[in-house]
Amino acid sequence: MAEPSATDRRFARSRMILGALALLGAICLLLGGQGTYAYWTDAATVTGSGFSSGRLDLTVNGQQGNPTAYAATNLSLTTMVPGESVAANLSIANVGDADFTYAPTVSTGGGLGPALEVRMFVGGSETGDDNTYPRTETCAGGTPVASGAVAARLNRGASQTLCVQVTLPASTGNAYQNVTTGSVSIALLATQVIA
Amino acid sequence: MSAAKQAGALLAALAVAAVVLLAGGAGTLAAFTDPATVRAGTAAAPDSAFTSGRIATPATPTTSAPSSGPVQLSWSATAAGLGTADRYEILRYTSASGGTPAIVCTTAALTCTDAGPVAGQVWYAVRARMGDSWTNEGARIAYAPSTATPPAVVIPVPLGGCSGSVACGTASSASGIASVEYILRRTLSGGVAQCWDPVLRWQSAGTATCAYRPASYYAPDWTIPGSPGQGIKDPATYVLTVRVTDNLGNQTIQSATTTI
Repeated sequence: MAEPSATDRRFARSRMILGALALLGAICLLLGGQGTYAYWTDAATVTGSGFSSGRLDLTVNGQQGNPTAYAATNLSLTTMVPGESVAANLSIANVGDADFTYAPTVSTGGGLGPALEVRMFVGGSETGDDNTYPRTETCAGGTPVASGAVAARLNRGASQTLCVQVTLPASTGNAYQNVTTGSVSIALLATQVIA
Repeated sequence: MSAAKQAGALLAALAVAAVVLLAGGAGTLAAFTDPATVRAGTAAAPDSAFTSGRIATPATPTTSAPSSGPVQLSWSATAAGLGTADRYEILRYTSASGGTPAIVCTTAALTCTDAGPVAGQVWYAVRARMGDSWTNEGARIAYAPSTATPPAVVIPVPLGGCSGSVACGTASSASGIASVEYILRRTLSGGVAQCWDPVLRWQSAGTATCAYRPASYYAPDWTIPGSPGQGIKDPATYVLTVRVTDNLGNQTIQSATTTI
C-alpha cells in the first residue's frame, strides 16, 4: 500500500478536529441548557362521588341456600325399590349484578347413598308419578350435566330450571333392602364471567 | 451491525416484552363467586330423604296331588304396593333345609309346572325377585312323588295267632303308611254271615257292619282290636280283608282265609 500524501493527512486531521468540536458543542447544549429554563405549573384535584362493589348472587327456588342449605322437600322418596325414581325442578336464578356460570356438584350419603344414582338436566322438567307403584318420576328433556361440570351461563336477571332425578337402579344389590338412611346434596357454585 | 440485524434484535425485544406483559397480566384477573347448597328432603331429616323397602316374603307354594308325572305348583302374589315382586322363581331342593336348589321356573305368573322327573322326596319354595338382585325366599314344602309300587302287606295264616288282638300283620311303603283298614267276616256252618265289630263283637253281616274299620298301626305292625279269645275262635270260615293306603295314595287290598 502507498503512504498517504501530506495533503491527505492534513484533510483527515481537519475532519477529526471538526468532529471533536461538534461533539463538545452538543454536550454543552444538552447539559448546560437545562438549567437555564423554567415553567409555570398549576394543580387541581377531582373528587369522585364514591365507589361500591356489586355482588354475585345465585338463588335456588328464590332461596340463598347459603349458609343454610335449601331443603328440596319434594326431592325425597322412602321405601324405594329397584327401578323407582323421583325428580324435582330447581329454579336457578341470577339475582346479582354480574353474569355468571354455575356448576352443580352432587354428593350422596347414608346407608343408601352408594346405591343412589343422581342425574341432572339443565332445562329439563319433572314428569311422572311418585304415588303409584312402581314410582317413577323422571326429568323430561333438557341437557344432561355431569356433577362438577359447568351447567350453564346465567346472565344477570336470568333464570333456568335444573331438573334433578334420583334413582335406585334396577341393579341395586340385595344388601340394600330395608336401609333406613340416605341423603343427596347438591353444591352449586356460581362464578363471575369476566367477558 | 447491519440494518437487518438491528431490525431483528428490535423485534425480539418487543416479543419478549409482550410475553412478559401478558404473563404478568394473568395473575391480576379475579372473579366473584357465590356458593349455594341444596339438600334433598326436609330440613329436619335430610339424612332419611331416601330409604329402601324390601320384598315381602312369598307364601309357601301348593303342589298337585302326588303322582309320578309333572308337578303342578301354584302360589299367591306378594303383597301389592311396596315389596311387590316382579317375578318369581320356583326352587326345588333335595333337603328340608340348606342345599343348593334347582330353579324350576322363572315367571311373573303364579303357576309353574315341574316336568320332572322327580326322584324321591323333594322340597319346593318360592323365591320372589325384584330388579336384578333383590330376592326373598319363602318356606319350603315337601313333595313325594307317587311310585308304581303299592304298599307291601303281610297277613299271617292261620288267622288269629296274635297276642292281645284279634289278628295282626305288617304293612310298609317307601312313602309311609297313611292308613290300615280291615273287614273281618265269618260264615258259620248254618250259612250265617257275621262281621267283626271291636266293640259289639260279631254282628250280622250288613252294609254297615261289614264296612272297613280302622286297624291300629305302629310301623310296621298292624293289629285288629279285640280280644283274641272272642275273635277267631268258634268253628267257621274266617275271611280277613286288609286295605292299606300309603302317603302317596297307593293302595293294596289283600285277603286271607282260615277255617276252623
